[in-house]
Amino acid sequence: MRNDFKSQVESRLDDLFHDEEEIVKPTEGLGGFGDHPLKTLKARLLSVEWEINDSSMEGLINELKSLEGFYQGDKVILGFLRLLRPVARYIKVRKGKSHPKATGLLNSVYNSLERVAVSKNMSRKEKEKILLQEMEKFKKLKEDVIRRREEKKEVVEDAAAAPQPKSGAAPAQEPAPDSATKPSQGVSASAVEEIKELIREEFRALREEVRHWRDSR
Amino acid sequence: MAIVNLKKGEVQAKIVYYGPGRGGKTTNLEYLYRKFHDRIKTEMVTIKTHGDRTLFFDFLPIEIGKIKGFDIRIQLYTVPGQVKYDATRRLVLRGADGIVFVADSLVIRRKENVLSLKNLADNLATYRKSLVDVPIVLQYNKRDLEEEGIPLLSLATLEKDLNTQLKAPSFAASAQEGPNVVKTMKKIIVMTMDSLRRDLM
Repeated sequence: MRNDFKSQVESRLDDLFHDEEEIVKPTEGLGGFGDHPLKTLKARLLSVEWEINDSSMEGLINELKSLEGFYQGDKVILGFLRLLRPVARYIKVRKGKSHPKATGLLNSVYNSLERVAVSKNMSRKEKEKILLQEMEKFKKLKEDVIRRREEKKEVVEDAAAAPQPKSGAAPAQEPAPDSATKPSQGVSASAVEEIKELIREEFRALREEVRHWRDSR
Repeated sequence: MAIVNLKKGEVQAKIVYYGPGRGGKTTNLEYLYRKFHDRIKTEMVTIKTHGDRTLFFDFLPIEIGKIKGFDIRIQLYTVPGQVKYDATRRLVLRGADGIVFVADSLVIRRKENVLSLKNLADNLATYRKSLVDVPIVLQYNKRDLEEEGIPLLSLATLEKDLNTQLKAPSFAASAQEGPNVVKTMKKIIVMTMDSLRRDLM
């Protein structure tokens, strides 16, 4: 009975999902990239995520620093590495609040760097052109970040200009997380905002779970 | 806990893909959806943050069809891997009938794999369950990166770190490219349905 049921499930699954079954070779060695100096950097970048913690970002930044030493003689490669470092530092500081395109830029710059570093036939002019394209993207991101900061500041200023609540009433707006005037207030406001957001997320998840549960009944 | 509706002749089982952040849980479901969308005829629900990370969960229902007179439905979920979403993870884990633990093969993610497996055990404990109570399959993901020269943990190391006590079925896979993604899913479904068999028969 048991085997009958199991084999029926297996056969149904085979019918549904039949044309895939390539096995990954469990090899242990390193292929393609071999002992290339960028190997560790690539691994570090692959692990960079929004759940960024100080140690992983520190690892990435240190790797970039050490590569800058290694590539002293190659101005183009050095250019790419010097683009990566401020982006990594920015993500390390801002973590989940980084601009959404920041991690994308990190990957884009790295991909271009890899293309340039690995290619044997690319002319210097071509390499410089790729570097310039990445520098443009970096500049654009920088402008976006500044614009975003300015917009936030305006929202805070508008809130400050609005009529003040009566004494004892709750403030109309939380101070901006980036508030530079009183750092301790800024930090605590940012922490409160983060906790609020977390609670909101958890409630949303709970509602979603209830909805699915209802749908499934 | 599976929903068994004897009146309607329906069985619905919940399988949760668990593991460290950026390990490839969502990519597993996306691969299945992309590849077999025409056959499973269901929609994948996914909620992501602006950084392309799973915020709540991904959800992919699969209709297996009639077996022994029951309509079998499988619901595949992923949990958000990021450490800060533990409450959401616990919530999604509630009532799980089977688990796929997606481990990241990158050398530098070794610690995160172990921590995530421990987190899974802790969260199961809140539902008075342990890792041996629930059917579980381990998937060692991102094996394709080996060809790019990225330092990966050996399969022996992954087995030693994660599977010494569990002795669960394990697969080296690439959620990005596809190898063993389906095999992992098939295995967990068969194990889950087998464990639910007593409720069905």
